[in-house]
Amino acid sequence: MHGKDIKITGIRKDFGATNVLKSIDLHVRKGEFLTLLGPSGCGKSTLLRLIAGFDVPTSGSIEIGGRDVTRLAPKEREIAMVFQSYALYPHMTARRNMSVPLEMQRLSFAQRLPGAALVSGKIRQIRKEIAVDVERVCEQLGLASLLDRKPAQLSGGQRQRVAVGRALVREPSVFLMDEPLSNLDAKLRNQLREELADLQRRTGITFVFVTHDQKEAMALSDRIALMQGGQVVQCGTPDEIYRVPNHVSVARFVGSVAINEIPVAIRNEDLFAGPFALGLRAAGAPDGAYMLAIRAEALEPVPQSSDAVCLQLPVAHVEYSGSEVFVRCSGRDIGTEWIRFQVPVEQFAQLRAGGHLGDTVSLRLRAHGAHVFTLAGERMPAVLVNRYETNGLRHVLSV
Amino acid sequence: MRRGLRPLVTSIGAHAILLSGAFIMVYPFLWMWRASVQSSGEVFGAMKNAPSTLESILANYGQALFQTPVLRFMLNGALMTGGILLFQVATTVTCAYALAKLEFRGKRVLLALVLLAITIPAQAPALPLYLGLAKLQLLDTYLAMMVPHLTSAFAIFLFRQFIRSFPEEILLAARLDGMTEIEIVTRIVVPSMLPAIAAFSIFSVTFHWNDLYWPMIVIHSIDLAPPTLGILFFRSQEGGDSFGPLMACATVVTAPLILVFIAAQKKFVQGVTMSGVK
Amino acid sequence: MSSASNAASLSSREVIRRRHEALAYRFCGPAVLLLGLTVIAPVLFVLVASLTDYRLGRTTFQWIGLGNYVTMFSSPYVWQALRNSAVYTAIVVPLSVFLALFVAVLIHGRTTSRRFYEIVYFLPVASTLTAMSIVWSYVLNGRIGPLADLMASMGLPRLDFFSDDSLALSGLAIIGIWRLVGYNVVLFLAGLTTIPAEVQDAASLDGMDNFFDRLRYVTWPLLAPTTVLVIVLNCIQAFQVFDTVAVLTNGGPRGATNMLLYEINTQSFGSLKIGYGSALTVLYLILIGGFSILQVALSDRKGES
Repeated sequence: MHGKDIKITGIRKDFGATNVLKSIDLHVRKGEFLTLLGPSGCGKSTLLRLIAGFDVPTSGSIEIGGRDVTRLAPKEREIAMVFQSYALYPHMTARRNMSVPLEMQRLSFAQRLPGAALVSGKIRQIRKEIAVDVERVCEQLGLASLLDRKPAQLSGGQRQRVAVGRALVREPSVFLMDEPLSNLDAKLRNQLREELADLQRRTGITFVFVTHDQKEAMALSDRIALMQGGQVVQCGTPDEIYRVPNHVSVARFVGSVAINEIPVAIRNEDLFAGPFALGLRAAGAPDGAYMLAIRAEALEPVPQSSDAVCLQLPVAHVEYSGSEVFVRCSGRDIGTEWIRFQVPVEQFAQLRAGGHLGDTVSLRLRAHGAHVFTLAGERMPAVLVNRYETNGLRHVLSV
Repeated sequence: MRRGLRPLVTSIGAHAILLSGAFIMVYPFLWMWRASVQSSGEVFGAMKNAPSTLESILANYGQALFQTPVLRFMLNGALMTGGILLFQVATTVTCAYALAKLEFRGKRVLLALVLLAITIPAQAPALPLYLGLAKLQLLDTYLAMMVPHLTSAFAIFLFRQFIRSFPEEILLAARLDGMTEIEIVTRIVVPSMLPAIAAFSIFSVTFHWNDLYWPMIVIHSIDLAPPTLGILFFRSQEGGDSFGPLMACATVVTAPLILVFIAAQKKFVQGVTMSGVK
Repeated sequence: MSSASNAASLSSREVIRRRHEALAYRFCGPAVLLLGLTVIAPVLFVLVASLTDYRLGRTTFQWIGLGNYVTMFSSPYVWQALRNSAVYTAIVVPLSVFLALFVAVLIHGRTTSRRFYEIVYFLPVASTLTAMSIVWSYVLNGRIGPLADLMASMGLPRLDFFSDDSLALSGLAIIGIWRLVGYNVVLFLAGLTTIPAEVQDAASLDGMDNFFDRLRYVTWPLLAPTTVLVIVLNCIQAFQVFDTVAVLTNGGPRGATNMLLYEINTQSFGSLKIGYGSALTVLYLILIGGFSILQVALSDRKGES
C-alpha cells in the first residue's frame, strides 16, 4: 500500500447563502499524518467531506496523487473513511461489513445478484479472495474473534476497530478519519490513538484526521492544519504550532492550560504592562500597543526578595491537582482579568514556607513560551528575549 | 463530469415517477372539485348552452348548503367529535398521570386492562352497546353517537408514556410548594403535554369525523346525522339528478379535515399515524 | 404519634402508596368505569351471547353451546366474506407496501420538493372516505367514468367495476391502495430518517451509488422492522374495510364484495340475530386481536433495540 498526496487548491464551499470554507490551500504530503484541527463549526468536517467526495466544492480543485478528483464520486477516489459514529451497517456482521466494500469493488452488478455464485466459478473465486483479504486485515487488527458479531454486540472500541478494518481492507491510498476517537472513554482513546499511529507508520497510507482535541492532534500528527472560521490559520508540525503560533487564535487553541493574554506596550523594544516593566525585550519591534500571550509554564514564581525583573500579582485561587498546583492571580493591575500559572507541588511548598506565595506572588516571565501579537492578532516577527539574560553580565558586574 | 450529469438524470426520473403518482393521488379530488363547479350535464359530456362556471358554483353549492341539511350534518359532526374529544381528554389525563406517577394497588391490572382494550377494534363492542342503548331508549340521540368513545384506552396509554418521561424532580418540587395532585396535573403536567394532546386530538377528531360504521347503526333521523351518514342520506334522496350538488356536498364535507391537514401538516401526520407508531 | 410510628414500621413504598392510593382511584375512576362499560363488558357480553340463540324482540333464549359457531362455519356467506377479505388483503397490502416503499425512497432523496410530495401523497388519508368513495364510484363508473373513457379511447373495453362481480373487489382494492399508500409513505419516511447519514455516506464510499444496490444493501434491511410493522397495520386496516363496501356495493354484486365486517354488520343489525352476530364478532375479534398482539409485540421489540 502506498499513500498519495492530496493537493487542495482554492477550495470554497457555500451552503446556500452561508459561506463555510473561504479559500483553502493545503498540500497533504504523501504518506503523512495530517490533522485538521479546530473548534466545532470551523469547517474541518466540511473540508474532509469534500476530500471524500460527499459534497462538491463551490469552487477550487482537489487532486489526489496528481489526479483531479474534484467531481469524481467517492468510490472513484481510492479513499477510505472512518466516521465519528463508525457508520457500520447495523444489520451485517463485522465480516460482512468488511467484505461488502470489496464486493462492490470487485464484482459487477450482475455478479452480485443473489445466487450468482452458484452459477459461476469465477465469482466463487473472487468471493474466496475477498474472504482471504478480510481475514488478513482482521489478523492485523486483532479482530478475528469478533468477525461473526453484529455491531450492536460489539463494544465501542471494537466497533472502532471494525470500522478501521472496513476502511483498510479496500487498500486505500488516502485514509480519512472524522473524529473517530471522540465516542470512546479516555483510557481507550489513548490506546487506540497509539494503534492508529502505529497503523499509519506501518502502512504508509496518507492519513487525514479531523479532531477538535488539540492534545490528540499534537500526539498523532506529522503536521497540523489549524482551522478557524473556514480558513487554515496555520499549517505546521505540532512543535511549530505550539512554539511559533502565527496568530493569537492559534496560541489560544493549543496547549492544555489556557494561555494568558496581557495587553502590553513596547517602548524602545522593552515590554510594559501598565506601569510594570516585564523584563522582556522584543528586538526590532516598533513602539506601540500589542498583545502578549504567555503560556502558564512560562510564568515562574520566584522568591519575593529576588531582584530579577518580575511581576507582582495578588493570588486569587489555588487549586491542587496531583503533582501540579494551579494558581490563579488577579490581573486587574495589568489590564487583564486573570493570570494563571502552575508550579510543581514541591516548589509550591517551598515558596509557601518561605512566605513567597501568600496573598501575592512574584512572577518572572520567560521569553521562551511568550509571544507578541499585534492587536489584530498577527504574530510579531520580532524575537522575544529576557532582558535579564541580555543584561545578565551587567547584572552580575553590579553585584 | 459523469457526476455532474447523473444526479440530474436521476432527479428528473424521480420527479417523473413521483409526479405521476401524485397525479393519481389528487385525481379524485380534482374530479370532485370539477364536478362541483359544473352543471350535471356538463360533467358527463359536452352540453350545448352550458351555464357559466360561476352560475354552476352558485347553483350547486347553493343547493347543497341551503336546500339540504349539509350545514346541519357539519354541526352534528362538530358536536359529536367535540363532545367525544372533551370526554376523552378529561377522563384519560388524570388516569394516565396516576398510572405513570402514583403508586396504588391494582396498577398492573389496570395497565394490562388498558393494553387489552387497545387491541379491541372499535366495531367489536357495537352489538351489545346497541342493545343497551335500545333498552334505555337512547337510540338516535347525540349521546348514542358518542357513547362507545367516551374514553380511550389508546389515549391513556399514549399520555402515560408521555407523563412517564416527565422529570420526577419537578413533581417533587411542586409537592414541596404545597400543590395538590390535581393542581399538579392541571397546572404543570397538562401544559407540558399540550403537543401530545394536540396530536391525539387530531387523531380522535379525524377518526370520528370519518366514522361511518357506528352512526349508521344508531342514527336514523336525518337531523342527527354526522357528515358521513348525511352524505349517504343525501345521495339516496336526491339520486342522480342533482349530481353537481352531491359533489358540492362531498367537497364541503371533506374540506375541514383537508384544511386542518394543510395548515398543520406535521401535527396532522403525527396524529393520524400515531396509532401505528405507538 | 401512633400514625408516625406506624409509618416508620412500613416500607417506604408502602408509605408512598398509602399517600397516593385514594387519590389514584379517584383519578382512574371515570376512565375505568367507562372502559368497563363500553369495552370490557360488551366484549364479555359478546362472548356469552355467542353461545345463545337470542334474537332482538324475543323474550326468551336458549343456550345452544357452539351452535352459532357451527352455523357460522357452515355458512357459505361467511366463507365468502372471509375469502373476500383475504383476497382484498392479499391485493391491497403487498401493493400498497411496495408502492409506498418505492415512493418513500424517492421522496427521501428530494430536498426542496419533499414537503410538496408529502402533502400530496398523504391527502387521501386526510380525506373523508365516505365522500371520496362516492367520487370514486363515478371515477370508476363504466358508462360515464373517466377511466372507462380513457380505456375506450385506447380501444380497450370499458370496465364497469362495481356492476361486474369479477371486478368489484378490484375496484374496492384500488380505493384501498389509493388510501393506504400515503399512510405507508409517511411511516416509511419516518423509518428512513432513522438511517444515520453517516451510514449513507459510508455506502456511497463503498460504491453503492446505484439505486438498487443502495436499496438492497442498506435501505431495505434497515427498514425491515418498519416494513413488518407496516404490513401488520395494513392487514388490520384491510380486514376492517367497511366504508367503501357500504357506500359502493353493499356487498354485491352477488356477494362479490361481501367482506367480514360488512357480513357482521348485516347479520347483527340487519337481521338482529344477536347470538349469531356475537359469534361473528368473536371471530372478528380473534382475527384483529391476533394482528394487534403481533403489532404490540413487534413495536415493543423495536423499542428495546
